[in-house]
Amino acid sequence: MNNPFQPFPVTITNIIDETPTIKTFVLDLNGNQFSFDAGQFIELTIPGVGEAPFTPSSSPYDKNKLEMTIMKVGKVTSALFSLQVGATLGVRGPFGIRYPIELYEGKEIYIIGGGVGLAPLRSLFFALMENVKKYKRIYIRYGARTSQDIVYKQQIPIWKTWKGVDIQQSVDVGDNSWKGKVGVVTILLDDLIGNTKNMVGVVCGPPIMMKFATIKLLEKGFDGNNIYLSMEKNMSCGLGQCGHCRMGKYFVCKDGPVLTWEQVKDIEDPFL
Amino acid sequence: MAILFLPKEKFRNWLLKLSQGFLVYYPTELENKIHYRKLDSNALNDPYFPYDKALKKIRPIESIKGFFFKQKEKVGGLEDKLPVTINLDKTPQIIIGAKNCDLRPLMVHQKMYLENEFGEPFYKAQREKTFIIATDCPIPEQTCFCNLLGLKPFPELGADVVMTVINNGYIFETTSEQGEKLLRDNDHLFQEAGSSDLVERDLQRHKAVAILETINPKHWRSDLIKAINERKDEKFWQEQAKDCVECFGCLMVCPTCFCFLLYDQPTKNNSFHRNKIWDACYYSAYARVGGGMSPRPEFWKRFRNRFHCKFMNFTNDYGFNACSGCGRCFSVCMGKIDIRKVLEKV
Repeated sequence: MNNPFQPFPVTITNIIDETPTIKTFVLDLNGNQFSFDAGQFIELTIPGVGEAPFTPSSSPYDKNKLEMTIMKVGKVTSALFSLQVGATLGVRGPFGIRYPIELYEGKEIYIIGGGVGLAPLRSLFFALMENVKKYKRIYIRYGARTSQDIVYKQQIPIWKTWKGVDIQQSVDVGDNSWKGKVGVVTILLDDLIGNTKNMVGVVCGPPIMMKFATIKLLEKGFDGNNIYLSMEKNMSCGLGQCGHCRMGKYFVCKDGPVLTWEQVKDIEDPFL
Repeated sequence: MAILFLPKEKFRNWLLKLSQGFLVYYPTELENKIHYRKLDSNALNDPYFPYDKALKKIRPIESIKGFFFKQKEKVGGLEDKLPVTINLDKTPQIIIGAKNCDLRPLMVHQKMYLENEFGEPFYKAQREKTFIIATDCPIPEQTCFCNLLGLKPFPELGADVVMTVINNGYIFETTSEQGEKLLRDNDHLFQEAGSSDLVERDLQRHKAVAILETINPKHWRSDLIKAINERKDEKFWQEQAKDCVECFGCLMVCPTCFCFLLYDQPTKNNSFHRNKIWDACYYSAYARVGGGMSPRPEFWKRFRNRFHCKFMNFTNDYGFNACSGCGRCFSVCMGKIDIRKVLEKV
């Protein structure tokens, strides 16, 4: 029986502390057949505690392991944070649709992340880097609350050296250790110019950040069809059956989790 | 397919035959309420058992949904890092006495589960082992409103056999191949229905349709989807929801509601069983995400969601409403909130 509710077991092989409330869990798939495309998500089970949806942050091209960068916010993530290397988790998926990256070819791509929202975008970023020449330029605009809340602290300086990539960061609240820009992430879009109608914006972060980033991109002339938003809904079954993630006419788990502004603009409070 | 007749005196004999090969569920009166119960030897061996009494009434308290989409069902889990084994009970069963308002929900679940790209093997297994012998509703009651949904008070789509109780017996019409076979297995008991039997059935059906039109003379507006979509004001929905005591019985008895929660129960160290249990969009935690945010934090928005789901979103997706007019929702409602009235005002 092909049982869509049954997770397969995976093992935690490494845990990387990103911030005081964010960790990256490296998972060994124990030989299970699994692959995903950037944008798709999985349901991660903490045995005996429950299941919650997360989007992988590793490259979809990396078939040996799965990395999940996760913030401690609720019951499942709190239990996850108490686990050690060697612990068993369950995985179902992948679910949802992928970023249509073939549509991004020849274009300038703005990847806009807020806080832990950079995690799923890293998976997209790695996928784009596999064929970086296909894209005109990849911009990462990343905002965190403070310098302590920045994820991938060791990796971002390396990414900055990669060809075809332009990375800028800001923090909402500055401190002595922070030499960069201070302000919400949208300040990094203030001087965005060019043929914006033809640019792609990919946004993931807290709802309020997503809202204002979308407003900013629209102000700048982005087409609603080119603004890709990661909708955070209670994606419980992942199959489009259980109803929890319904948002207007969409089941976010099946029709998303990434939807374009054009798709969600008529929905009441899409970011809530 | 042939229309058959079974004389009253042979009915018990036929049920006995059926019960030899199947678990038979039958509408049974318990403390003035009708429930589906397993037809046991007491009933089968009692020549005076009132077989028709409950059959002639409207739908039982519980819908047949629970036979397929169980209130709680184990659907997975890990034990010592290995998937748990689930043995599906494949004992064939027959449900007798389902009404049209319990058949329409099967179409809703067909869309949601069986035609879903991932499928729902547990629901499917229960459906595949079940024969449905549906019956007419000769006397609709004040809570019935299938006519407002464009449905008839007798079985239309979704049964294997349609059975109508008439004065001196039962008329059987098979509506699926399995139903045909089910009757053929005992065909020595049946005879061809006579034209007077069919006239009696037609008259009875016309009468039931007329009763429904008297109960619900005012049909909903034809642009109901648009009206629901455009009815955004909080005041209206607050007013409709003001008598709700938030027991959510309406959603628990609803035959079309398809929402479920995957709920993991720890068994021993690092092991758990995953249960699929009924859920309802009225619960505040229903759509809440990890960080505590909810798209519908206020109750009136959750109340409205039921109307969005059943009469707008599902309708837009599949061309029919996710409501069958069974009236269970307001039969159990302590606040006496009548879904018909809400939709009249919208």
